[in-house]
Amino acid sequence: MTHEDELAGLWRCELPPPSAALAARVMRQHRRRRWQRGFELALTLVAASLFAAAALTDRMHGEQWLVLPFFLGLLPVMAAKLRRRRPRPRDLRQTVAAFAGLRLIQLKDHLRDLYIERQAAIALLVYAVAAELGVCTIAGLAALQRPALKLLLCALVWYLVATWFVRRRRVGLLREYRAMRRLVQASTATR
Amino acid sequence: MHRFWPEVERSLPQLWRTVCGYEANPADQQELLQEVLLAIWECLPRLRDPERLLPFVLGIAHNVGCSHVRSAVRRPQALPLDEHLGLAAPDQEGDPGRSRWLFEAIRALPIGLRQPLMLQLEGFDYDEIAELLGISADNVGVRLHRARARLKQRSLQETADDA
Repeated sequence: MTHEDELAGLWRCELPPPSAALAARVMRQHRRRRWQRGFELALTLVAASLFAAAALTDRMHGEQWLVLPFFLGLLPVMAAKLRRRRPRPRDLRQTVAAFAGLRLIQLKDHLRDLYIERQAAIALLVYAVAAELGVCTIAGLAALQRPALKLLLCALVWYLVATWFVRRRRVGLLREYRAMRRLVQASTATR
Repeated sequence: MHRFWPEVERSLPQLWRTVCGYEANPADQQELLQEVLLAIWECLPRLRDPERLLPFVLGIAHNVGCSHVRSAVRRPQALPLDEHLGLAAPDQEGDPGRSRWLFEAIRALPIGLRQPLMLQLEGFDYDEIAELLGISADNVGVRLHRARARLKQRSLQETADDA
């Protein structure tokens, strides 16, 4: 028996644990992902239609104008967060070298998106603080004080959640990015 | 269900070994296998040649595997001297301890060396490996040589440590 045969023998003695209804599990997961995508789409459409209807029928009040920039910033960021950063099926069918190159570009984009998400959270917090100060201390608009305070609290919570999420997500993305970069470098170095 | 799905299920041992080559943690292995199967499920309608199902699914498994971030520690623990590669008698083939050693040693290899070795152990030749990985057959040879040299070096190192 050659060294290669021995290695192959050792390799092949590893067998998967018994797993019932494999297809059903995969189909369930596939359906769950489709539901998730549908939910994201529905959420975006509902929010857009609410603001569009209010704007078109001329029923936008000061309170709605106050929170509009917040939601305009929040919704795209939320949509980006809800979407998990999986490789696309059409990329997965490529050769490993081609996939690594494509994935590296995607990961760069994802890391940039995380940076934008954090900056958006900071910008929303700054806006909320400015709105609170403007409404309460400068303009003295009593009717808008309560919405401005609510906006500030929402922006604060959003900032904390976004900071935690970005830190947690960035670690995984950076590790994957380094692994992919090594793979691409290895492919180009020995080519 | 896709008409080739039963064939995919028959390739489960190969897919499982590929998953084990990327992930050490048993719970994460199951999760990664699920990810791989889901990716295959989504890609299966694009399979043109049913004869090439195994390279197709293994290619997807390697792509999902290399983008998977491992949770386990990179450096696995060493096993006792008599379990080392190349020192045991042929009749010990199938020993789970030595098989475990092989998987740990493979996981410790850089991905660029690990992938051709795993594919070769599955029985693919140089040209097939080159096609799957998108590199030249000469490059496959170089990588396999380096991978085997590293396995041998590791085996000798552990033997020396235990002596």
